[in-house]
Amino acid sequence: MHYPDSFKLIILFIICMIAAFVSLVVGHVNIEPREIMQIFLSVIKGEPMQDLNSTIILSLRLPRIAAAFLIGGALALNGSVYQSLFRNPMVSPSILGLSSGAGFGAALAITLGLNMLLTYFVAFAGGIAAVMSVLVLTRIGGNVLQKNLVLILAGMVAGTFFSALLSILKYLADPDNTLPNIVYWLMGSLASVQTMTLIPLAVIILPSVMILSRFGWQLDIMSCGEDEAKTLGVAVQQVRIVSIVLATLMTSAAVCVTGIIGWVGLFIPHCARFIMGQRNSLLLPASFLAGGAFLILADCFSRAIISTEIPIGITTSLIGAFFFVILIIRIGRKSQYD
Amino acid sequence: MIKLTNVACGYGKRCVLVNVNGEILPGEIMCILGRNGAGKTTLFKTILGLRMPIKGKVTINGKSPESYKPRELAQLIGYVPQNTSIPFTLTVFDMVMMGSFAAHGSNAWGMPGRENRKRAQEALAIAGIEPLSTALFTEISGGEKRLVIIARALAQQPLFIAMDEPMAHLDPGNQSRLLQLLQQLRELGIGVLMNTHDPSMVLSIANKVMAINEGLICAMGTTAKVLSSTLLSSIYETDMQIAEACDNTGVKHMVCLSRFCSPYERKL
Amino acid sequence: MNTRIMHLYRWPIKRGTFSLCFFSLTLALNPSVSVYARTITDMAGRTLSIKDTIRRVLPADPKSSILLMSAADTLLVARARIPGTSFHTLLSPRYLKLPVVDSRNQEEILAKAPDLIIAGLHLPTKSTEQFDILQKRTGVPVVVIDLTLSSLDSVYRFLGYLFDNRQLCNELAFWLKDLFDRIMLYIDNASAPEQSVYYALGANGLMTDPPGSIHTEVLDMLRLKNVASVNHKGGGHAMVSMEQILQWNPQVILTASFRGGDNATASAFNSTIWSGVAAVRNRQIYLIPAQPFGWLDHPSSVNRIAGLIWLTHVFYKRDIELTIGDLRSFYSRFYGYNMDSKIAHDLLLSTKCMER
Repeated sequence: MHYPDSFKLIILFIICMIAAFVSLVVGHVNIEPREIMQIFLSVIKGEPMQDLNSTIILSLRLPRIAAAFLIGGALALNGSVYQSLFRNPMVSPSILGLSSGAGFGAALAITLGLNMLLTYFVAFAGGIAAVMSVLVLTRIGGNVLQKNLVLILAGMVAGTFFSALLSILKYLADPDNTLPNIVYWLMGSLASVQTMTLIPLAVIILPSVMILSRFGWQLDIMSCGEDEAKTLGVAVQQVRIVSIVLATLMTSAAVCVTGIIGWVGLFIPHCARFIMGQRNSLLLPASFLAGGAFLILADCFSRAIISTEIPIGITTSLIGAFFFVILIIRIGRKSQYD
Repeated sequence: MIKLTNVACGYGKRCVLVNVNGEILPGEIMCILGRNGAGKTTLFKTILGLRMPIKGKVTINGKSPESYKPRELAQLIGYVPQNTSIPFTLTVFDMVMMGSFAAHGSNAWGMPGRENRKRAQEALAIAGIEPLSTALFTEISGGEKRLVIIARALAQQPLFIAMDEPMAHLDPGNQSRLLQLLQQLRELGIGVLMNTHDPSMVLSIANKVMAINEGLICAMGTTAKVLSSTLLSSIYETDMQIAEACDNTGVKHMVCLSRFCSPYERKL
Repeated sequence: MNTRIMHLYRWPIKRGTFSLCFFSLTLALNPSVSVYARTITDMAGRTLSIKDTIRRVLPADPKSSILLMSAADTLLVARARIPGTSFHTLLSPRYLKLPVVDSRNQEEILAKAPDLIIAGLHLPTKSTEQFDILQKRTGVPVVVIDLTLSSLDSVYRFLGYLFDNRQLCNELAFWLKDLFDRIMLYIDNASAPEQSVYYALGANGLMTDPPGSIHTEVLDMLRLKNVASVNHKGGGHAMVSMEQILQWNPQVILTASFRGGDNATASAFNSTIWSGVAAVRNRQIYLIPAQPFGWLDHPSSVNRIAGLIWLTHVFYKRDIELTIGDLRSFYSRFYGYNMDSKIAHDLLLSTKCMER
């Protein structure tokens, strides 16, 4: 029982590596795998090559793959965490209005021309504001039975509100330059990722993932309900606040770098549940790896399939919608036989 | 020892129960009798530290529930709620293992460790539901769920277990299994605090009874002393009688008969 | 060029009841609406009736607004909102004093009681349906003009005929035609430039416009090698990846300097990855001037003439004094701004980003 689960995690990790390798090879510039190996060898030897191909591999594709891995993982993990916290398998960062909140914050920062650090901060403030308003609304309006319904409705309220604010920004923006900046950024793209952008991203995401993964089992217990979790010895309030803050922080950081990428937070956790079962202690790392692999491939598709970049939000939504239908059908069939 | 001194509890400022006094020791089974909505669940939540008492104080081993760290408190008192629902499909073993968090925490990866698994296995064995361990919690029957949750509380290895209507919706087979389990708990030295609507069960198992009527404790003491036909009749506002009955082997039991379905009337 | 027909024509009252009601409503609001005496065909080939004498003209969009500043002059009752723009320099304050009207708000349009509305399009690509609707709703004739760079002179001739103000407009049209002729003659005789060009847009420089786009008409007209060989149809700009830019390896980069926003010179070009591009290595980065309006685009109206003059100097080495003369003449005729030659010199110098 213990062994196959860690085995599955290893398999997922290998899938990530394969996705990363595929993504390294695929691109507008044709670079042979053998040449990629040579480039890496030269880096290991400490005498990096200065030609076009090594620049493309080392400064373009590699940071993009790393960013896709971190961001995809963060969004998927975030989805799993929220699903447990809110005891609702239909919750995701975008359904809770978090993406819109962080998106508005970051768009505001773009419009005001703030620097990177302040952009992160404003996006985080927007995200936290959205999630907090959802929490407060749910607490005010939800009795136990309707809590899930109220939660989704509150998420819609927060999402709509922040989308409206975002629309105001778009309406006021210059249609020839600031507007396309915001619009393309909102549709999501990893195009502007550089080696430097990886540093704040990694600093925010990796520790958060570590901490959140350690909460896995406690999140399981909390999915029994707040009171029961308390009687089982979980410091509910503490776990909840830390998870919400960390999850929101990760998503905001991701939104700052790539704009809004939908569906990963809903679709990947369900895939991970399908593969891994429902225990958060395994589900969280599995979601992280699966989300990472998915976004690496989606980004590869986005940048290589046609001559222009397809915004990655479009790619993930298309693939996500398609696979979600399959998932719904499979779940439906399964429950028919039970 | 759980001790209640002049406790008033309720929702917000509205008191449901006032002036509750009493104590329960490890190895005792205390039953709370009262009508639907008498405030039994609220009292439980107050004892469990989920809700502050409006007046008076609750102490567990001399300290109030809030003063304990969550895990310390969970090692003192376990809780078996009336219904447990979980939106995800976890196995029975996973559910029971949750109880071991209080004592052992999780391992470095945030996962349950070997100790946790051992503890869960023991609890499953005590509750006699080992064959269920790989079944999904969402797919087992209500009676089995009750036993699983009791096993989860056992995995906490607490001194006390509070059970909210453990007998509700159980078939006679499961009821007797549960009674056996309660007996076992008493032998293990665990104090059980439970509420029920079944006076016969109280008669057969409880050491102590606390009867609630109109928001007040109207009787409190050992079962033999306190539980009478008049008390029951006044609580439930219907004619109830305690009688002695002999089973086929000649062993005497105390049973309670309520007027509506009483065998007397059928005989008459 | 479209043929222009002129007939005496009455307003056709053969529409549905709703339109009739609306028409009478418009009539009530605007008492002068009754005399639609002449019939014209606009540049999109739409036939419509307009008044004999046009006294009040309203632009439907920022592009035609810029164009009308010079052509309609005193007839202009309002200018269109150019979003995101807080200030314009190098522009006659007379234009800035005009009230701003958003043509999406039809009440505002009616409040200005225009005799006609001018709408700009890049013909013959787009449908004119939105303007037919606007015309139907407001009861004000909407005249469509062509904003294609090479036909700007004919636009002015058409406007002169429309406003019956031939002297001013024909002068502008003649000036434009003369400029086109001189520049085309010059580049026909000059040696074709070797450098390839990348037009960098967006905060990270990864948005661009391919050849054939309405945004790069200046580059196309000057026969410059625009490296962005991407297939991009529809509105907006094309997104490309850094990898593509490295592969194209342009020798010159033109970047739009965004009013109040970011431009790629500031952030992206300082990164090491851009140093793989020849233009960045050799400091061949030009910042496109944006006052009062963008020289290359943004919006794509008559303001692009400045870009045409400038880039002929940059790529074909046309004499700087001739270039400055044309620029000054352009600013005074089209923006009502008398630019002294020092400012013109400074403007030209400021376009070159020497230091990273």
